[in-house]
Amino acid sequence: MRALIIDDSRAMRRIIARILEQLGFETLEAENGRHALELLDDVVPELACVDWNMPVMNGLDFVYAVRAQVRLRPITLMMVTTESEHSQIVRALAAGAHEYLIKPFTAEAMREKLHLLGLLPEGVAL
Amino acid sequence: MNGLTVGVEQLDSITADIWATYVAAESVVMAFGAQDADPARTDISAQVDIHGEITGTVVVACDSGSAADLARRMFGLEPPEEPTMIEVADALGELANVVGGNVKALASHPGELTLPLVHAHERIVGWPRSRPSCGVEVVWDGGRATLFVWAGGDGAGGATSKGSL
Repeated sequence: MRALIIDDSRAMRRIIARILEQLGFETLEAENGRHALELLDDVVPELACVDWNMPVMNGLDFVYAVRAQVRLRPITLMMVTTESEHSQIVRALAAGAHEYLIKPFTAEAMREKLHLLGLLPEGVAL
Repeated sequence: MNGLTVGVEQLDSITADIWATYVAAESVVMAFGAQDADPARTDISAQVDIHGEITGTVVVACDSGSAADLARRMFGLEPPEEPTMIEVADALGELANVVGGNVKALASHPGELTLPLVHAHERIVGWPRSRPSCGVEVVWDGGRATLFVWAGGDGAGGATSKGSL
């Protein structure tokens, strides 16, 4: 399975990538929503981990853009962000995000979210 | 506009949580006197501003060796690989972002977080409001860092510099 990691921090992309790769995912990285949409022209991953606060195109606008394209609807969208205001969480989920993970998160927390989403690769125990 | 109100115990708890998750399994966090907030005591800092109905500034500052250790750990670098200056700035900025987001979550009013800004301290003139509302110091086996929160104002409580990284 493939995962697209979208965050303006390369350090955070590496942290998320290490967790996902240990779970068996192939990972791609994008530094903002616009860059991520460009990557999605060539590949449609099963999962996208999306930061909210990014330059060029933020995570919420990326979610709206993905949901507007039928071709990209199979992608599971998980917000991975520091934004924890209730109204903002509701906004992201209403826009089409499937799950929400707040930073800081442990590898175990991410694994549990993926399990809830039915995205843990075969053979990986919770 | 409301000034951000954060207690040192809350900053302590946020810092301990973030360091345990992203830096080191074991670290010690202790209160750091507001009167000691001086950019000259450290080499590099990252700040995020909170603006909107609540305002404030969060800064994470440390010496260059500690900053390099933070980057090494967050990027998962193994010796002899050393982080580049860009990677150091990125890692410190992301820590400020996560601290800032968790500090913002304590507010009773909504607000927005700016993107992190990283400063090398030889280029800093000074912090305009030199007395933060609270501060902590975190020590781990790779270094130490100080974290400060400034409350209120126009949100631009961070460094005045000749330039940033």
